Formats: sequence, structure tokens, C-alpha cells
Amino acid sequence: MSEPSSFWPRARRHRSFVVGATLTAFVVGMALLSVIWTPYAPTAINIRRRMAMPSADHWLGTDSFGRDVLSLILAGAQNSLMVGVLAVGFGIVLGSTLGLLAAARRGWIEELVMRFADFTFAFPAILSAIMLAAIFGPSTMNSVVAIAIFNIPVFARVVRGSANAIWARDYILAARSAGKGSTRITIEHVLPNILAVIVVQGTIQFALAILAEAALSYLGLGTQPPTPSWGRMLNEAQAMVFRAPFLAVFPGCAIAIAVLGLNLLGDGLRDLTDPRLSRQR
Amino acid sequence: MTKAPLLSVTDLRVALQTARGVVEAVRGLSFTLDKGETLGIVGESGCGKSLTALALMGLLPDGAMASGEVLYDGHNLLTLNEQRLCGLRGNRLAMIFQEPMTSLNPLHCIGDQIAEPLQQHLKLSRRRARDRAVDLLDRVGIPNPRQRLDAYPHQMSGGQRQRAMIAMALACDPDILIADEPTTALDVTIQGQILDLIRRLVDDSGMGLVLISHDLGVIAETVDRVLVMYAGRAVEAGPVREVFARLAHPYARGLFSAMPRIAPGQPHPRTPLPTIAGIVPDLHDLPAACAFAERCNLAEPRCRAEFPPAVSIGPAHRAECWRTDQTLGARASP
Repeated sequence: MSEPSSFWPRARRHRSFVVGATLTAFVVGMALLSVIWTPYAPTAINIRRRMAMPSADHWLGTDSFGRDVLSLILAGAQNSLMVGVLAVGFGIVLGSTLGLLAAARRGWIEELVMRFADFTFAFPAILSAIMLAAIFGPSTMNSVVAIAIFNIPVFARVVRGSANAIWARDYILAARSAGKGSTRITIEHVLPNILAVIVVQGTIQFALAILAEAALSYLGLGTQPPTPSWGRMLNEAQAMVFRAPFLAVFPGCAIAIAVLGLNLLGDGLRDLTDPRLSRQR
Repeated sequence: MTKAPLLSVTDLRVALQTARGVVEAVRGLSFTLDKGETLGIVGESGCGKSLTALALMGLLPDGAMASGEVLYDGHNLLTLNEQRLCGLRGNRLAMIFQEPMTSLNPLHCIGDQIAEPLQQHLKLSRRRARDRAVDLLDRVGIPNPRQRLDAYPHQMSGGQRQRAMIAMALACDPDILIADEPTTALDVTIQGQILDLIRRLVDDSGMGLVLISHDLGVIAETVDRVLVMYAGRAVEAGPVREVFARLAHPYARGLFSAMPRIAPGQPHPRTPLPTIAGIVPDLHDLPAACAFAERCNLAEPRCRAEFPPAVSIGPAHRAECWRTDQTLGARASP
């Protein structure tokens, strides 16, 4: 474990952490800004200014309905982050619980949890999400549920593996010899020691969730109009990619920045919280 | 009528599940421990010392099964359910471990780790538990105990951490303290201090101590009675002075002569250190008779054919060997 005191000085010198954190902060900033202010109402249609090139009035131009692209992208950040937070949060809570339970109880419970994880992994995620959308109808919430379901086994596996390693430590034996039960040991000793692993995995899963949401919305199975969504903007831009290529470029860039930022942040956090790597510095 | 001992172990066996089948690592160990008594268990790596300690605490690793009887306070600890055991561990039975560097959780300050069992078992408030932790740190000889309460394990030396571990173990005034190689990871001067400390705490509190070590010197200095273990059996047991004076079992004799002796003022002996020939027998493939016969220079055909009897050497001193006439005839080497 890295000590809290040495984290920030090292973090400031870690290039991918700094770049990742900056990009992520930029995306979060866009989402927060869109809550209080956007240049135009994101859903306001202005037929006379359809597909305007970027200009002083519309920094990123307008789409085929004359909506302001910058406003749509700012508001779309909100949607992407919300889906990511909910889906990954759901995955972390349920997946970590299962993983911790598996490590604490071992035996058939562990087998059951791990076989469930294998079972879920055996399905291609996007196909299963399409299936869910077909059954429950396309909506933002259903895409959250679909993405969350595929996050549960990821966290269950990662947490079980790390928790098993912690359970083998001497201080766990010492804690057991002090009369602590497995629930108490899990909460007091195991969970704090694997928190870093969960945060790192969570950051990377967050990036994947944003990508998955964009993909589902692009296919028309996620966020429905008129709620702004990066994935749907791509879909709508596709029809006129030769007449107005910038309509595809800007939401594409937004997705790329968010995903890249979170991935770099995740890598940076992994390096910074890995005690073996921190000692080399 | 004699009072029942504090702890009574009868025919303790520990079976391990391995890739090559089930093996018995502890094969029928029996001993008793009274209040205020100190018992040493000595033997080389893999003889089942640590498994014995873990079996007493009910903390055997997955795949290990204990049978026999460990009687404490009218209960067989081997059949007690996990919840009852949790109530005993850290409360009535306490254990200290070999590695002070890794036996404390790096994320919690030691004050909290010592106060924990007090809050759990004695239901003390956090404040009162921390006050008790200060007393405990003081008792185990940590200077400035109130300041050290908030220290993290990485801020302490090995000896200090072992003292903190002892404080944790003693928190609830246990009846039985099990110390598994408590000084092996420490340097020699610290080793002496820690042993003195354990010895003093046992004398003060009247608890029973089971001290596990591979170091005969540690055993000789610290305990009243000793069990010499070999391949999961107590091959010799008795009062420590008697056992060391007579060394009735050839294995005990071998261990003793394999100990380096450095006397001040005398030239370093140029002779190589005697060793016990051969290696510890494979537990998968233990001989049906004496497990030490293959390495024993006194072995005769009978040793490989029949299990040796427990020969009484003196009061409460016995050895499992066919050839005690030989070992006792030829006086123990100095």
C-alpha cells in the first residue's frame, strides 16, 4: 500500500496520471457546466440554421435540425457520466460483495460465484444488451442495467482474487487468532487493503461503460431522443458524413477524450497504488 | 483428587489434504498444560509444531483436518462451532506469531489493533479500550506508550512490533498463550529481551504458555517442560532439565549436538558442526515403525519393524525409543 503522504508528490510526476486526470476533469467539467449553462438550449431546433459550419455563433456548428452541437456535447457529457456512474457503481457494489463473500467463505459459495461470472462472460455483452433492449424496450435506464450486469462479474473476479491474496497474509491469521469473525475481518482488514484495486478497475470499467453506452445509443437501443447523447449524435451524423463531416468528428472526439482520459487515469492510479512500482521511484 | 489441567490434549492428529493424497502431519500428540506452566515444543521444520499450534486455536488452513481431543474448560475445542471459538480466541486463548513484520495490518495504527480485542470481547468503550492499550504497551516495555498508540506498524522496529503483538495477545488476560517461534525473526539481543518479557508476563499473570521453537537455547531458557517432536510425534517429553540432561531419544541427542557452541575465551573449534544424517522422512511414506530409524545410528532391526514403546525415563519423563538402554547407558555428550 502506498502511504497517503507520498501519493500526491509521486502522482504529480506521473505523466499518464496527470494527462488522464486532466482529460477526465475536463469531461466532468463539461457535464457540470451543462447543468447550469449551455450556449443554447441543447434541444432547441432552428431549421434556418441547419448544418451550419463552426462559427462565432455556433462554435462547433449545428446539426441537421439546427441544434447547437456544442450544447449537445456538453449535455451529452452529463448523460455519459450518469450512465457510467450508475452502471459501474452498481457493478462495484454487487460485484465486490460477491467477490468478498467468495473469498471469505470459500467452498461451494466461491465455486457458485465464479461459475456465475464465467456464465456471464460467455455471452457477448453487446448482444445481450440488444436482447435486454428488445425485451424491456430501449431506454437510458435499460442500458444502465445491461452495462451493470456485465460489470458485476468483472468486479467479482478482481475482488475475489485480491481478497484471496489478502486472506493469506499473516495479519489475517493474527486477526483470526484475536477472535474476529470473517465478516469483521472482511470489513476491517480485507476491504481497506483492496480498495485501490477496486478504484483502478472502476476507472477502467467507467471508460468501457461510456463506450458501451455510446455504442448502444448509436444502435438506437440506449438513450432515446430528445435526450442528448454522444452515441446518438454519431448515428445521426452518419447519414450526412460527406456533407457535414464535423458532425461526426465532434461527438467522436468527446467519446475519445472521455475514454482515453479515464484509461490513462486508471493506468496512472494502478502504477501509483502498486507498492512494488512505488518503491522503484 | 487432582484438579483438571487447564488444557488437556489427547491423541491430537492433523491430516492434510495434498495432491498426493491425505497425509498425517501430527500423529497422536498428547500433553497437558496447567495454569502458570510453560511448555515448549521443539523440533525441526515440518515436524508439525506450527500445525499443532494452529489446531489448538482452531485456525488450521483449508484442507487440514484435526481429530482427537483438545479439552479446555470442559469443551473440546476441535468440535466447538466457529462462533464459540471466535469468543475464545483473543479472549481466553491468544497467539503470537513468528513474523512481527507482517502480522500487523499496515493500514491500522497499533493502538486500534490492540484496542480491538478489548472492544470485541470485553465490550469496553473505544476510550477505555485505548486507555487499557496504553497500560498494555507500557507492560510490554514500549516507551512513550501514549504517543506510540497512533504509530503505524511501518514506523516501528521488529522488536517493537513483536512487543505490540504481545500486547495484543495479552489484551484480555488470556488463560493460554501460544507463541509460535516468537523470536525467530528477531536479532539475538532483542530475542533475549522478548523471551524475558514473555517469561515475566507468564509469571505475573499465571497463564499457561505453549512456546514453539526450533531453538533449543530458547526452549532451555524459557520453559518448564518440553516436547521434542519428530515427524508429528512427541518422541521425548519431560521436564526441560531432565530432558536436556539425559537426552533419552537419539533424535533429541542429535538436535542437541547439532547446536553450535561458542565459549568466550576459547578458540573456535575446528571440527565441523555435527549434523543429523539424512532428511526428514516424507510424510506420504512414513515407516510403520520408528520414523527416525532411517537416520538413527543406533537403529537395529526391531526399530524398523515395530513401533517403539513409550519408555519411562524418570518422573513425567518418557521417550519413544527401543534403544534407551543405549542412549542412557552412554552418558549424554556435553
